[in-house]
Amino acid sequence: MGSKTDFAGWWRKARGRAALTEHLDTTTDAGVRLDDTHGAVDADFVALGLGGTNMMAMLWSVAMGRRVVGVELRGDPALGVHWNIREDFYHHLGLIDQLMAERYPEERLPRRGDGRLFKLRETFYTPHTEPGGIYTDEVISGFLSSLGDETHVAGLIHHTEFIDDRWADGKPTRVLTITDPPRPPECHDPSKIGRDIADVLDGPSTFQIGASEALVMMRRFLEIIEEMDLAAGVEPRVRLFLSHRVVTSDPGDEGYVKWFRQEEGFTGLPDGRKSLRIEAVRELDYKGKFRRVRVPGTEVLDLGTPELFMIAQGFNSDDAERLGFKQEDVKVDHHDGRGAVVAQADYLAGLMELNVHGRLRRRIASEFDKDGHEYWVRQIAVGHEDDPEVGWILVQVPDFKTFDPVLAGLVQPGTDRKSKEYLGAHQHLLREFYLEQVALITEIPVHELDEIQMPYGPKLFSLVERVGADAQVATNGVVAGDSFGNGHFLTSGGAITGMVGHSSRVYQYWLDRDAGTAPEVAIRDLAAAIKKDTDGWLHVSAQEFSQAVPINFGQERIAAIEKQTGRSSSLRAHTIDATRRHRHSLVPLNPSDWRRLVIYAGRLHTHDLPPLLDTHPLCRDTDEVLVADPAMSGSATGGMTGGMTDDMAGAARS
Amino acid sequence: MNEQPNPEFVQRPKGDAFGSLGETVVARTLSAGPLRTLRERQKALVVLCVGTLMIILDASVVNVALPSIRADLDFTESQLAWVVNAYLVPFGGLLLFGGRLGDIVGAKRVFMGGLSLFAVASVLCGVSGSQEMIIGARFLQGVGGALATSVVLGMIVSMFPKPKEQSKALAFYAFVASAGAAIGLLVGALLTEGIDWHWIFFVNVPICAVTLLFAGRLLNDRRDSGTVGVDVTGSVLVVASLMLWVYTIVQAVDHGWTSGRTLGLAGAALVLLIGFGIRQRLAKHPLVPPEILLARNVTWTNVTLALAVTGPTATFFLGALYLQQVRRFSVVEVGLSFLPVAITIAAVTLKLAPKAMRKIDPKQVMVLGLAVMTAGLGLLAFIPVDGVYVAHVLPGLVLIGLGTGFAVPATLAAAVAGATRFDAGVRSGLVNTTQQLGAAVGLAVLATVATARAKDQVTGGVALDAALTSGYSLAFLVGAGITLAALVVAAVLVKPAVPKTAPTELDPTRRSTPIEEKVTLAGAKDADFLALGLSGANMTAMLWSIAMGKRAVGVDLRGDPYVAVMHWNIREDMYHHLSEIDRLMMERFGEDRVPRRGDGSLFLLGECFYNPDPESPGDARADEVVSGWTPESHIAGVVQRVEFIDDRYADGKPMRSVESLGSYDAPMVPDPSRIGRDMGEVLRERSAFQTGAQELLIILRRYLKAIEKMDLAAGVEPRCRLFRFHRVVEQTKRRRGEPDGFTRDADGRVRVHIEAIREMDGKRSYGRVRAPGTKVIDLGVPELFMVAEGLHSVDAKRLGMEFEHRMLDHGDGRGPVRAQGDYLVGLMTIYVDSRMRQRVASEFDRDGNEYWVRQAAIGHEDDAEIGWIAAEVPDFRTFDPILGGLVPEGTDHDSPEYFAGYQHLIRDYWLRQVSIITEIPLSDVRRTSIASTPTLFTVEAKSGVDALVARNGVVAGDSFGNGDFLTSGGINTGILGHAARVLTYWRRRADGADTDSAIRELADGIKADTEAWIDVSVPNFAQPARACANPVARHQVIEATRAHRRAIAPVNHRDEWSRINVFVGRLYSYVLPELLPTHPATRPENADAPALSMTGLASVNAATGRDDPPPYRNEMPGMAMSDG
Repeated sequence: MGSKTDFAGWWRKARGRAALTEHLDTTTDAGVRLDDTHGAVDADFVALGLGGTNMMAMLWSVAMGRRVVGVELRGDPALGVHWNIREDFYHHLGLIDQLMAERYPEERLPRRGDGRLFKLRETFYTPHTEPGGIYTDEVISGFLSSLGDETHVAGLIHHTEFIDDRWADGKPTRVLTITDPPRPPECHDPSKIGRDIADVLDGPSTFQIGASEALVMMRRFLEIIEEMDLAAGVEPRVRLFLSHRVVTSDPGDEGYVKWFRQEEGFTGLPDGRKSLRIEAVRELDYKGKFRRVRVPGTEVLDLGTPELFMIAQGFNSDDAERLGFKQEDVKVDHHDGRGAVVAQADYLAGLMELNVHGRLRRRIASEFDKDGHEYWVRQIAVGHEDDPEVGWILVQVPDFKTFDPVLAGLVQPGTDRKSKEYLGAHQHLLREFYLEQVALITEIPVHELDEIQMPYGPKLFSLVERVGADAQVATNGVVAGDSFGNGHFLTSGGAITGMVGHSSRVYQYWLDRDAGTAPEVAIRDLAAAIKKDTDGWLHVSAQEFSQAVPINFGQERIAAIEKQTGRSSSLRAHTIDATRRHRHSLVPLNPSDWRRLVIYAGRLHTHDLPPLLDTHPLCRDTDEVLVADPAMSGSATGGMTGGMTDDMAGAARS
Repeated sequence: MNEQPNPEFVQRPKGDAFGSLGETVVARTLSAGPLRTLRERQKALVVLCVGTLMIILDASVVNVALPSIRADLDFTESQLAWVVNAYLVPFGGLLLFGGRLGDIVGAKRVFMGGLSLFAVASVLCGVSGSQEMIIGARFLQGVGGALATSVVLGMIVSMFPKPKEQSKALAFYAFVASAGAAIGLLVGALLTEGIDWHWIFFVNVPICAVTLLFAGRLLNDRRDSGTVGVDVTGSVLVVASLMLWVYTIVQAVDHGWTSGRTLGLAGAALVLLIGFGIRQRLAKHPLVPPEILLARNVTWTNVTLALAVTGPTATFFLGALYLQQVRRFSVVEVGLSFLPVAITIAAVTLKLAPKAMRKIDPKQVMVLGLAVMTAGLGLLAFIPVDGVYVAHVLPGLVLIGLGTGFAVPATLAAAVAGATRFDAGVRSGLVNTTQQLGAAVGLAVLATVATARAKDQVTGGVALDAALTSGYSLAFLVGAGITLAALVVAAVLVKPAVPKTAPTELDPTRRSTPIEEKVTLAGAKDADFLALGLSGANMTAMLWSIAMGKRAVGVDLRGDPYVAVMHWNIREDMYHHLSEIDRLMMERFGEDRVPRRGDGSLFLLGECFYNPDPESPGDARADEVVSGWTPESHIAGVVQRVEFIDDRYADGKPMRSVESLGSYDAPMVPDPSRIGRDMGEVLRERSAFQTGAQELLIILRRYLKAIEKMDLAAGVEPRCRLFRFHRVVEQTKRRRGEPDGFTRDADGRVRVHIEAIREMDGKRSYGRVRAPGTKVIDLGVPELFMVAEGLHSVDAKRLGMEFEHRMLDHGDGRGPVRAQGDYLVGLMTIYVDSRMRQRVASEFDRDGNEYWVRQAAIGHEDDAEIGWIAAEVPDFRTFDPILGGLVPEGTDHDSPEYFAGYQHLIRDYWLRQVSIITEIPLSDVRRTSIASTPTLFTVEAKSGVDALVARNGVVAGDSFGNGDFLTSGGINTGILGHAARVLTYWRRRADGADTDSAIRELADGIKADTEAWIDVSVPNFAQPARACANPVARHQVIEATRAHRRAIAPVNHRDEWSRINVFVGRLYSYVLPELLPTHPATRPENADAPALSMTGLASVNAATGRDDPPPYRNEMPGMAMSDG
């Protein structure tokens, strides 16, 4: 078989170095015009990266009468996660609508497809319209209203539930805390603009929304303004470049000469400001990997020197890095005697088609390694009001977990790690662990979960908190959003920090400028505020990394454990690090996962989640040995979870 | 930042968060400013590399000048090694110290300080007039060099944090480092010969000055405030110990290896070394934390490295002496002699070694390199007194160069492969140190061995040249032995850089019971009906069987029906068939044994599929209907609009005719008389319903599953068993002693064995292996089994299924050719609504020949997300990006650029066709999201010769044959035709027919259905009759074009359906524009001009005061046909 394939490959190569010499094909490449910079030069505000942070900043800027430009590499929003949104976001949208209405006559305000005014706040949520499994485009186009469905895109959170399944006094204990759902606001409240982000994040979430739906809402608003202004022949308030990037080299290039001759998209002026040059790119999907190259035949577009530009392109922004921006790991001291440790954790994320409904459910529990050390792991389930297809569930991986198929007895010792048997078994273990954890937070038995459709995941994510020292990277440029720094993603801190925090600081920037503040002073304040917001997020996130330690943890205790286990603490730290690296090496995160979906076909689970039980999962079994020996409970949990959840489900049904 | 627990965190839970009681974010250690721009960092890289080159070069530059230095300063042969070692020992010994110092006082300061010291020491070397002075000055040079180079790697890593840039920068550095030694020889030779040996040192001064100047401007002084101390005592101890070791070895020639003096010195050196070890255990901030040495691979890779570097170092040192003293080469000739080594090392290090390490583990590369190096040193051990350079020296040198190029980077990679966030810096510092110290000690040993042997030989009366040669030979031999020892250590003690197993010390995982092992086998054996492949045809056949009181078993390779298996146009009969199954089930089993939906109501297939109640919406997902989430709704939308567009040319001119069928009156009650109708008659009728393939299949699957579940729960013999993620045991994959999946009994009936499989996502394809721990399941001998596994059924092929192709004569002189066509099929989120629109049009090739192509658009009632568009590809299209001008001539077909160009042309062609059939402007279509990107799909009209493949088995569905798929002929033929033939089978059996005659009739019925489908399809394969001057040549070009098109990205449909490639964009939820009466080719050719989106249009209308929505087409630029 192999030889046949090889021969075929060779023949294709040999035959196909040139195109068919005799052919009947009339193909020519009719490109699309990508070089129109009308209204895009020397803008007031340029957004590099059109995520939530930058689009909100653009909206604030337009509402403040500024001319804005957005540059985005990836076309339309594609982020497939679901966000928990704090109430402040609603107020921000409301104020943008209000400012737009105050500044522009009605004929310059965007409208929905059915002719009604397009208001961000109303599209997002009103008490009078219906939620559900809908697309933002269906609301904006007027499609749903034409069917008689008056809808909004966000869902309300009706259930906020916390499960604490950590061990206490050497025994599994369950504490359930169910809080009243926050009351949704009736109208927007301008006094809530610009609040301290730590306060915002420490408050409860009111709404849930698909990330791409929220982003599409903002994108369409900006697109329509651009279209209207271009059609009216006036200077466009908005210009969007949606398959463009700041000029750079193709990361696929390997030659040194090219590297050293790489074009600069950012060119410096003597006063430290940067002017920007962008290029149109084509995305190549080649054998599962995405690459991007400049569209053949297109020229570099000069955007001139904006008064302010903001880079918010997600984690690891190349543009920020090219301007000298650098992040460092965030360290957190849990006051457990071990000093400051890097804030990091591994999570498995997945979207299951099960009806979590308008619910935010969190669980924290104890897991134990071979030596009996306790670890805390968290899970979160996020749904959407009246949409049975949304069940985003994230589960933390305890640091000792390897997902090693040899250890699990799935493949023979010595099996090559690159073999398909090994990788297949590894994928299986990831899924098995994920479903076990999902069962614990949803109280749905594993064998039922196994039959439920999964449009995404389980995907291993490695979360490492990183942050920059200063958001300002040029006299006229700042870094924001996740590109500046990231805390924990468990409660959508990133979305809130960027869309509610950083972007509204741009609003403040324009307020300051209107009040006569010099640009260099206003941008310094902006950078400081961005940093303060992210620091607030980091503070709120810190607790999400805390790990179990005995109260009297200290050198004596460490020595006792070392003596008992015959394993030194530093070696254990190394083992944990090596374990983590092993996990990462097998399943590297690939951004194309959001675009090339691999779906686990199954059932749509529309039933409500079973009721939460008061008893800890381990206490639902009579086998007291499990309770008495924490060292064994890790393996016991692994072996029994499926059965336990059967019992749980039985109890729930009764 | 706050260092105390934040009291705000004490009360939990608060907001959405949940955690423990008190945490503090610790202030970051970043103390330097942000990074500079890439251009500045690239310049800084060059500065660092120049500094490094000079320092590394100085280790070897003296080699060619050694004879001159010896002559000038009266060195003995063994003492001469001090000139080299006085540099190497402090250099190696202080690398770790320098690194730590850099963390504390700043890397830039240490680099510049070290470089300044190096410059001063170079001046001292240059003016040296005595042995003591040059050795002392060389020592100072070593100290300066160590300080400067110790921080370079760290600076490069922190300057280039992005992996790709970092690897480029590091490779650049590696090239300088690896080629430096050889360049040193050449530079040294040129200077010594051209001026005198003093200038090999003086030349450093201007280079240092320039480097310092640029370093001051371009480097940042980055400090790590987390590093709080440096172990000065440890550094002194290790340097002193090593110096003493080298001295002991070197002086052993004069005093004897076992003399009291030698032993005493060795003892003292040992004490110092032990002192260093103790110091490292006690020091608060040791140079080498003892636990690092215990980590995986650290000790043994360092041992290997220390031994391995002896070889190349000795080669430069001894080889230079041999060529100068024995062969009387000039200094420049010596320098040039080593040039091939430099080139080999550079080429291998930069190009071959990284590739080799990607393909195989660094350990294996290391072993390979050491073996080659040993061979090279072994060759040099046989150099004759009158050796010829090309014959006796060059081969050895090249082999050593090759071996070094492979072994050294591989050893470095293995040593740091297991590094963690905590020890990466220390590990790389350690290997640097080992590299230098290994070279120093190794050189001392080999120089001593050579000197001792030469001395003995001279004493014994051998001529000086022969004695020297003998000494060098022995040294090379010892060097080969040392390298061999390195090889043994590497092969036996070093572990692969990529561990074969995970670190499992803490993981308590024990195998939990796999899900697939929990299945029971009740009711699985000797079923009445066995369905291989849970397709629509087979699941409906199972339902008919159960409704007839039979026991049915289903086996499928995958889990649930896939998400993206197209949208189907279904004939009205489907409703009647499903309703008849419901009736039979109720009649036979009564309400108690008919499954129920989630809301407790009876699970009726007909009603779930289509509910005539006008209040029942027809856009629900199957699971929503079945679970009771939306019990009032159903899955099938009614097709209210059927439109045919004929855009073919007539009389040489583009013509358009549009035919639209009126609205459709869906059936109000089931009609059993429509069961078993002639398939041709069924397929010629207009489609009544549209449904997502997945939704219909799920309804069938849930029903079967519910029966299985209720029977198993009731403890009665299950009427139905389903084995998902199972397949018939593959002949090639079965294990020793296991039966084949299909075994024929003596009477010709087939017994079936299946196995559980695990599906793996290999990114580019699915892999499937037997689920570990599971055993083969014997399903016995079913009375009837039916294979319906879609196109390309492996099981049908194994059972000997043969096909015959439908041939068509297009009247173009080529005679009968296979009826086939290529289609691009994809899903756009366009609101096509309750519409089935088909179009046929003319396309023209380069020679002006006409081709007919078809498109179809399929939507769904009230569902804005469904716009399945199929577009036929004219046979002349290659999608060749070279022809399209997207990539240059000669681009490799396997390159990403070529593939991407092909992909772009396919997408572009398809979008144009979408625009034409939907009348949505191309600019809007381009911005619309594609939920499943267009896939090239080949349709060939063919059918099996005979559906009967065993005495008890038939092949059906698409596995048996295919016609055209534009109007969902396949699913209708399978579900309404083939499956209902199974009903007839059971009726014939109930009437007393024997199995053989009943199955014969079944097989003939299947064949008749498929043939009818193909007959109905024939018009969709038709092409215009056209005169052709050379039909044979034309046929060949078309065949080549077709092969070319299909070969670039072959699609494996078995895998692709559940792997969706999404293009994100807008959801087009507006009503489709009205069909225009004009042919697209007669409209203005500005299709690519950007047009307003519909939402933009609404806003513009409001802005311009036009309240009434303007006629859509008046505002839109028209379409132009892409070609022809």
